[in-house]
Amino acid sequence: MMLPNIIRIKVRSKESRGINLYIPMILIYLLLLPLLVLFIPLWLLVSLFTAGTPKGYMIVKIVPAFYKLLCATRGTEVNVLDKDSEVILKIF
Amino acid sequence: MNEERMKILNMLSEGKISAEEADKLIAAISEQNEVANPVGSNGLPKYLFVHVNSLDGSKKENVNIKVPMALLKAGVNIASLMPDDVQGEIDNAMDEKGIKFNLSDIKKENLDEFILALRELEVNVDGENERVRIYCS
Repeated sequence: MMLPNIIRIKVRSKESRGINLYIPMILIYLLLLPLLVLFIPLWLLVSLFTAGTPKGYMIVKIVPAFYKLLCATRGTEVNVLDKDSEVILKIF
Repeated sequence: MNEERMKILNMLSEGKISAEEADKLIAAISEQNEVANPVGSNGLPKYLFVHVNSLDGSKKENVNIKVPMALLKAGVNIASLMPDDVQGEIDNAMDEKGIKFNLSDIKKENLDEFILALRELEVNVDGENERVRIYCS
């Protein structure tokens, strides 16, 4: 499972010039990395204290589940077009 | 292992081609197979497609959505982690809207079967002004 690499966002309308962005996700991941470094020990501690309880099970599983959800977004494409505007979202 | 792949590996073992060439050939075969058969190697569809196309030429309204099936799996995975009372609240809310659907009925174990059944799904709605098509591939 691989995390998304690039997100393309294109918004074009008749009135404005619009935007066409290719966002390299590595930048987002680098920005989130310090938060992750702080969060992981906290997550491990909470998991440890709640181990053996249903809540503890949920806490342990929720982080990998969100990682999988993020990975699963790869390949998503949304393309909405009408005569005046166009919106494209693609996750590579 | 398919025949073509076996041939390439035999050629590699006989020294007729280099490892790099074998790698390129195997990659090319995999690519061909993917184009010929868009479903995953396990036979499950990979994407859900929703197309809404305007038949009225002056409007030019089109919506094309492609959702990976992996997203559905990951969503069910997260839903299974929800506490029972939260799941109950969701089921009740859906029930109030007239959707008789129990979230807890979808089990991770049955999901592949469910997705496999979706392979046969095809919805075609031809209206006066637009055409809606939903399918999995």
